[in-house]
Amino acid sequence: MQITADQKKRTLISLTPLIDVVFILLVFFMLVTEFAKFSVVSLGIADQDTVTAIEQTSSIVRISSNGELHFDGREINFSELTALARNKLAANEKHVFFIHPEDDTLLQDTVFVLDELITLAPDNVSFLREQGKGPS
Amino acid sequence: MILSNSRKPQEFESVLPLINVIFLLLIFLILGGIFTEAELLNVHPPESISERESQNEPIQILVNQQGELAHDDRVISMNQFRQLAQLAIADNPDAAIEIKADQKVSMQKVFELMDIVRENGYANFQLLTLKI
Repeated sequence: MQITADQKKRTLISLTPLIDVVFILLVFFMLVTEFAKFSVVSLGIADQDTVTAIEQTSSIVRISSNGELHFDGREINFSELTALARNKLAANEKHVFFIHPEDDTLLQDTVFVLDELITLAPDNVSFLREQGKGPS
Repeated sequence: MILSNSRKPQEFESVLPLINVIFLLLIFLILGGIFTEAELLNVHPPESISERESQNEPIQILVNQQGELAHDDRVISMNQFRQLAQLAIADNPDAAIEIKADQKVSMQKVFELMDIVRENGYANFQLLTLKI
């Protein structure tokens, strides 16, 4: 008689802590968890004809293989790029920027420059390659 | 004697929250694994501030740091990529070709891929990036 009474007591486990923990974890993960968010960047290469046609109102941003930047032939650091681009656009809002990475330039360095310029002039940024390379 | 009997269930109950947490974490990790599919090539996309969302079901090509290409869980050559682009444009001229390239891949490789895409008349060439 006493044994059965003990067994009944053991089966009565409160579910409250379980529910508490489940809800707390649920809320925690919903607020904190961030899965990798991907975005896309459209890329385009300028035709040589386009480059010639807008040569007078364009700037070339050259990116060397070690990440150094040259804005219209002048070496600059990354923080100067935005200011220079802004000045060009203030003078002419249709000013075009050509990004000219070297073959060994890392993609990440190119994307950083692309981000800066696309933010300022979304429709006026294109890639430039050396003549004789590619179909342009 | 009575004290020792009443103490045993309490000890068991005190472990329950720990078991709950462990099980929940296990379930979370198992489910979380679905979001990050294992890819054939080890690719760390470049970081970008771009807000543009990736389009649905584009043709996605993986490019690792060494310049190897992969599509649909198999490594492909540049010629196979060219054929793939030709077939894709014949199937759907508006389809996007999305390149998931490693951040340390050379621009030469990216340009080679862009050239092939352009040869086939594609204008929609997109680079997959990680939102900063």
